[in-house]
Amino acid sequence: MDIVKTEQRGVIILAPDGRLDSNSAPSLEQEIGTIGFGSDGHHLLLDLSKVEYISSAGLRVVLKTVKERQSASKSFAVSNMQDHVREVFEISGFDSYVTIFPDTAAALASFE
Amino acid sequence: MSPRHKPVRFVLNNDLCELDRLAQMLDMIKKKWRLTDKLIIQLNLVLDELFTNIVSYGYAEGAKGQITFIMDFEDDELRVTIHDSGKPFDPTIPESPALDIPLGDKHVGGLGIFLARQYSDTFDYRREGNRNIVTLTKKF
Repeated sequence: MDIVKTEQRGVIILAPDGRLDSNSAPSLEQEIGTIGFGSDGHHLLLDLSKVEYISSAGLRVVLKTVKERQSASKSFAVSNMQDHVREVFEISGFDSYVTIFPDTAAALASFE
Repeated sequence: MSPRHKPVRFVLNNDLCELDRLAQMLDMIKKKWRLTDKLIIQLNLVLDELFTNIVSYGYAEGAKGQITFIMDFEDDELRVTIHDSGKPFDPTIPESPALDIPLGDKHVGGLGIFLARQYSDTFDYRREGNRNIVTLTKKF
């Protein structure tokens, strides 16, 4: 899957484009793995505006990222969810573990 | 009885790349039977999770297999039958994942099947000969 990577105010924003399923999730996982989260690392925002579909494989990547970064000093959030994606997060109960913002601006403000 | 439509049958190989073809087939069925985007995206999730499970755990490493989908509708519900010749696996048995336990202890192994059941109205399994057969329905 195509993943657009940008940086704004010291935050790395990853925006995957397409369906996040068991076939495509490994490439997102790999891309997230390249972003350090030690003391010299970056905050990470996963922008899901171009993801219209997510399965449990996509949720697993998000959960793994939360776990990895939870104990680190660099934070992680998810933003711009489409309706179906939000619903899957809610049904799975993931919305209580993942920091979710409606848009990029709100997410960036939270990192400051 | 005068069926206005024929059931749709398609076969996918046990390869996760086939998920793209699953989405294409569902898009075709959506247009053919004039179904809503919401119904199709939810059905896609159900079939994706079952298919992914079969591909990931149903066959020995490197073994080739095929998964058959038969879809039909009657009145206000869709009916889908999925069969494969992989190892016996009853998706009605795995327990729902605990959704409110601390993150560090969270087991997400059963999450896919949990979602498949959440988005189905009925969900049944039987083993016939060397085949797993899952039948599910979903109301419009």
